[in-house]
Amino acid sequence: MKVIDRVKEKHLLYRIATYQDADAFGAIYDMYVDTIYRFVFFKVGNQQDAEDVTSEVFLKVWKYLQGLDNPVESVRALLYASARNAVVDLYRSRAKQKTETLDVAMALPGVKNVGDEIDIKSEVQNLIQDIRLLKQEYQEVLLLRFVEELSLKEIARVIGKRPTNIRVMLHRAVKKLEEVQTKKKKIF
Amino acid sequence: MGDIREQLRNLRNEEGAVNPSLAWKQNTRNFLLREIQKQGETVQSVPATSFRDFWKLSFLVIPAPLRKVTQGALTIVLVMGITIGGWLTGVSASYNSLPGDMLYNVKLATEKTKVAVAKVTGDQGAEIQLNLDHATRRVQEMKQVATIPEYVTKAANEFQKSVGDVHTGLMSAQEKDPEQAVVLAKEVTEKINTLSDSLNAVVENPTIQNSEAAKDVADSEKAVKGAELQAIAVVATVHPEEGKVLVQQQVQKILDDNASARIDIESVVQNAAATSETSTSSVAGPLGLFPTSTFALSFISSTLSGVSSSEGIVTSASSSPSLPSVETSVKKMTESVAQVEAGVKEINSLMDENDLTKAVEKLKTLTDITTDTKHTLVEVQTQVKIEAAANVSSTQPIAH
Repeated sequence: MKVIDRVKEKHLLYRIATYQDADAFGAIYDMYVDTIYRFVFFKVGNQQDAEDVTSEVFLKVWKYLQGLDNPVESVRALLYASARNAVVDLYRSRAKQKTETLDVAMALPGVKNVGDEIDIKSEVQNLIQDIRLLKQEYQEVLLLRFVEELSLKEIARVIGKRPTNIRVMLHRAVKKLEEVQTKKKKIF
Repeated sequence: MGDIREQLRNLRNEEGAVNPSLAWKQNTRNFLLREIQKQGETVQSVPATSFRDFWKLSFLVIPAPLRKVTQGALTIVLVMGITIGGWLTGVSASYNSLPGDMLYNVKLATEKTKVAVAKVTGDQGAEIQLNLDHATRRVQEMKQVATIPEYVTKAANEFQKSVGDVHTGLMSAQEKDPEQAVVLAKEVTEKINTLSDSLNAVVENPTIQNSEAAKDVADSEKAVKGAELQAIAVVATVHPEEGKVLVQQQVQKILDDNASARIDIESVVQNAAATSETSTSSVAGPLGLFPTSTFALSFISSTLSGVSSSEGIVTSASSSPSLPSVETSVKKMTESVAQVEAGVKEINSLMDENDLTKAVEKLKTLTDITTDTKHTLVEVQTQVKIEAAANVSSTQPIAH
């Protein structure tokens, strides 16, 4: 993240925290809606849920920012954390509905299968499906590092781990994804 | 592996469900802002800047790793600011405080700090000047708290300290630079005259005269005279001729005071005799007044001529053990007056011998005697007034 963007974000956060400035929150939304949507999409695997969860995340974050005496340090980290929780809540509710355990629900590719999305290229669908076979942590580091192009430090802040841990995790995630793809190639 | 990375990077630019549609983004944005405004949580007006806002801004601007250090430093700066600001406010507020006020000690501490700074910088003149200024303030305070002896005593004690410091400062200056000391001594002499006049007004204040603080005020007067004589001694050491003039001026003052004391003593004795005549009882009152005018006149003639006589005088030691009788006091004062007259002759002799040091020492002794006489005179005058009032009330016919 560029310094100028960081300063801009800090200023927006100050306006939100001090003046409850809706326009400032609108600017924050513009800055992060794409990344949060993609993050959620990778987790839930379908457009409808991704859209619902994303809008819910932004609304929750707005409410959260109102009750704070000390403004958050990074709105991006807050949005990702909120998105992760929202996805877990979604799976939990779905698991209850289907009388499945949370672990089983998390392993599923969402209510709608990625393959059901008619407007996604087949290779993209395959890639997303492969990623979704990995552990949640691996999925997240791959997405944040290669799709969102966050630095190790920024990922560490979002995930809540040390940058060295993220580096190791990232290395293992890539290796695991290669293994998954290799296995699939062997099968087909 | 490189391929996987490339595939992932391309996902960002993929069209379709991987990325949100523009229409959805816009609709969601509008929906969110509507929801926010519906909740009534938006405040359009800009509130006044407050410490809280400043704290929020600092929280946002200062990077997390530095926050602990910078906020610690910021806290220290704020605490210091508040402390210093508060101290300055306290000092400012204490300027008009009086003995007994909570801030009075702050005022004294501030003054002492100023003197200490002058002492550190080696500015003897500034140090003496500050002490004189502080002594002047103490006199004003004595006037303002005249009704509370405890506070008068406190101010008087502080006054004596300041004047004592002037005395010490002059001695110190004399050791370092006699010529400079003379300049300072002359300034002190002039200023102390004003200070003495102010202090006289306090001494003559009836409320203070009749209070327990009277002795402390008298001691203050002695301290002032002591500082003045020290200044004269400094001048006399370096410039004997100038010193002689100053000593002669002081001798003249003492003679004037002595003559005044003699008249006052006569007046006291006459008042005491008049009070006795109006009394219906021939028995002496508790203050030991004279039973008859004959005895009174005899006492006046004997005491003022320097001969003591106990004839015709009824003492009251048994009836008023805490206070000396008027007779005793008058006798003592008369002796003092005679002692001063003799002392002045001695000073003149010393001056003729050019022994100014001893002359100044003698002057100091005589000054103390004069001050004591003045103090005793005030006490006796008060006693006579009280006795007169008591006699008048006892001769009033009782209404049936």
